[in-house]
Amino acid sequence: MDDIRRSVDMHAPITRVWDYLTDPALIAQWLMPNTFRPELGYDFQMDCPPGIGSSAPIDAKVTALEPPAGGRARLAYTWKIDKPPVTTLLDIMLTETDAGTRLDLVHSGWELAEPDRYVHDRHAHGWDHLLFNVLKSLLES
Amino acid sequence: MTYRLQGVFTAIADPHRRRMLDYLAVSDLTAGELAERFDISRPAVASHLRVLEDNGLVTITRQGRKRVHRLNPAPLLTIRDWLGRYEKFWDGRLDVLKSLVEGERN
Repeated sequence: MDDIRRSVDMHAPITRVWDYLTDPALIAQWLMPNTFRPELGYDFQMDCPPGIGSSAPIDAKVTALEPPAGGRARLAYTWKIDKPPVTTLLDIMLTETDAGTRLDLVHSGWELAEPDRYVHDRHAHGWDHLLFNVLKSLLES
Repeated sequence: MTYRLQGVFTAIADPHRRRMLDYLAVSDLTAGELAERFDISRPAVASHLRVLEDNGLVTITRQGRKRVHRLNPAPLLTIRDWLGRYEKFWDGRLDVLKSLVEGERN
C-alpha cells in the first residue's frame, strides 16, 4: 500500500523543531499524550485519539534518533496499530533551509499481517496487480 | 453496503486467499476450478472461499448448474478510506506543529 508522505516548510530553527519532536511535553502539544524518551530502542506508548483506527494506546519503539547536525536531523519510530493489526513506521526528516526548516514525514508499512510469507509467494506480482491496479481503476472511475 | 475493516484485513492476510483473489481477478471460477489450482484439500478451499464471501470480497452467482465465484473488489476501498483518515490526521497534526514552532519565537 502507498506510503503517506507530507512535507512542510517551517519558519523556525531546526533545533526548535527537533525539540517539538523529542520532548514528551512538547510532543503532547501537537501529536498525542505519550511516554516518549529520546533513546534509541526505547519502547513507549502514545494515546491514540478516537477515529483513526486504534482503540488502545499505540505501542511504539524508537528506531532512529539523529539530533540536528550538519543541517539535518532524523527521528523514526514504529507505530503499532491494533485494529487491524499492523506495525507501521513513522520516519521524520528535518533539513535546514534558508527560511528555517523543512520537515519530511513518511508514514509507511501499511502492509498486511503476514508480509514475509507472501514475499516468497510466486503470486506476489498478482497481488500487486489486484491491489494497485484494480483498486486504482475503481478509485479513478 | 459497508464492509468491516478488520474482517477485510483478516480475509486478505492469508496467502491462499490472496491467491484466490488473484485468480478471480482474471476470471470467474467455480470452487472446483479453484481447488485444482491449490495443493490444499477441497474443504480447505471451500472454507477460505467462505471467509472471502463473508467479507464481501467474493460473490457467488449461478450459471446454469454451476456456482461461479466472482471477485468483488469494493471492500478493498474500506482499507483505502482508513488510510485516508490517517492522511487527514497528519495534515491536521502538522498544521498544529507548524503554528507552534513558528509562534512565540525565543
